[in-house]
Amino acid sequence: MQKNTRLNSGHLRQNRESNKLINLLIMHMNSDIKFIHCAIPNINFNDISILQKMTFYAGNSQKRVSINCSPLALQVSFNPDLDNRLKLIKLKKTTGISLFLSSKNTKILFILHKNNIIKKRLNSLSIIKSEDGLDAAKAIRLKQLPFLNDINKINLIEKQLKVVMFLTNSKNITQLARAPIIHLNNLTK
Amino acid sequence: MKNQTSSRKLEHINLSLNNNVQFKISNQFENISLLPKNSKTIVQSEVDISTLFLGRKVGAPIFISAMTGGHEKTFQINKNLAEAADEFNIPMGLGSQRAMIENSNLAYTYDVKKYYDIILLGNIGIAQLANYKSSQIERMLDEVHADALCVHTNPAQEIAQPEGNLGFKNAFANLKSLADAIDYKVILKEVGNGISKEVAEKVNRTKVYGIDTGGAGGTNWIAIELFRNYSHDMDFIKEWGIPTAQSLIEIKSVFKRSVTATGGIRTGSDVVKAISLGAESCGIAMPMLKANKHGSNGIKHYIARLIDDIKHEMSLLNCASIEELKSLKFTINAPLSDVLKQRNIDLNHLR
Ligand SMILES: Cc1cc2nc3c(=O)[nH]c(=O)nc-3n(C[C@H](O)[C@H](O)[C@H](O)COP(=O)(O)O)c2cc1C
Repeated sequence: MQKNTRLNSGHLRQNRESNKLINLLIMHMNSDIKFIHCAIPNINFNDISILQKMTFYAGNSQKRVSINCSPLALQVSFNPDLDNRLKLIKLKKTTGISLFLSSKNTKILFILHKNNIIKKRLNSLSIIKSEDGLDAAKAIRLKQLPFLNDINKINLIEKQLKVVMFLTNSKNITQLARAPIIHLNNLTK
Repeated sequence: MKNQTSSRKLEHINLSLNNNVQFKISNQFENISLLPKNSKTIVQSEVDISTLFLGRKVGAPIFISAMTGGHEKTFQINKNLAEAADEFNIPMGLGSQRAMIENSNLAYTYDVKKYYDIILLGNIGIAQLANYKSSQIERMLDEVHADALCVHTNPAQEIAQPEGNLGFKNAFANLKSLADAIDYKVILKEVGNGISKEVAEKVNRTKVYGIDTGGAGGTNWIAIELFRNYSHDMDFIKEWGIPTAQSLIEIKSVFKRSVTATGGIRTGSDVVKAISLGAESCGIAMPMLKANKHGSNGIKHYIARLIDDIKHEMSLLNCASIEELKSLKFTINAPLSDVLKQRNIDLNHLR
């Protein structure tokens, strides 16, 4: 009996692990989407804003704070080495991009706000690595956080993101998050 | 600026001829199946493919899509295209006439009606409508005796062009006002990235007479612009666009006037499927330009072969006329059928 129970719980654990894997796979598969081209956008490219409102509780207080920042996150390692710390300082000067540090199991989003760094814990499934602006736009459309780990690519990816926004008639991130799409993984092969 | 417009036209032609500038993604017509008519067998010689275009009788459900004009070297190309169009009684589109508004000395490069009595479609870019009065555009059409005006919209091409015009804020309003103001029928066309149901729905509420899909699956303007001025930054949208068959079905589901299909139309089968789904005609650009390597005879040879192919396909479907083709049963196969389902396209009103 006891043996059986042990066996069962082992099975359960295994099942849970494989379910997690399946969920991860599904997440990955569902992320393959295609935007629908808008032949007559009613916006000027230069009027497009990629800034996104982020709302959070500042420090330990109950005060809600909203800031406008880039929709991209930059991934840096859990123990920021000197190089990364230098990058952070550089970044703080140039853009309102948010950062996340990852350890094995936790992913923490850091948002730079008036010389303070505010922490937000992330659900690890809600982030998507972005190699280009199209990946980033897809992540935003799927209500996930696009991240990159090369600080030098920020400008390029932001520019490419604007291109996708122009071609989907999205003047801001909220409109991009509602742009018409097709889920490619739901298609019969 | 004037010279830039004119020399860009020539550059586009040379790049198109010397490089592979076709989409990798298909036009999606391979996912359409037509069911042969259950009637007596029709042989190819019994097939009549004459039909109407802008209310006038034409020899075949195809036309030469907009390409060129505006540079002295393009005059002969337009003349060759017009000679072939005349031979088969099919319509022909001119390339953007912006160059002749900027420099009236170039008007002759578009003036093919001086030589051939064909149905001629004028052309201007939607982004240019902000710069010209409707009377200027009307004069431009009068000068070449055009029968209608194609307004091309090309945001993806513009964005891949270093000097591209990205001010689209008033583009739709300008198109609407133009269609209200001028005495010519206005046809909205894309140049290869397709037109969606959402855009067609808006256009349906204007006086615009027709929409051409200008869909993905054929000539790829982002690719052409990247050959002109390679920028790694823009590579990522090279396969961007709505395939022609999808675009045709999306437009037909909401737009109640004339629809034509252009973008990667290459075979008789492509034409027959598009017409059966409700297109009035099919436009072909790049293959005509390639055929012009052998002058007007090259283009005529190409069109004759395509017409033969259309008739052959129709005989296999037991259709003796375009009317019969339009009443054939069809099926839309996956993955296009799945795409249309996700897009909530009503398939009941295609024809
Ligand atoms: C060399 C070349 C020049 C073109 N110039 C124009 C133009 O000035 N205006 C326009 O509306 N479309 C223009 N087009 C787009 C075509 O009309 C057509 O929509 C597109 O090429 C897709 O058709 P295809 O796959 O048969 O080439 C041009 C195409 C080519 C190949």
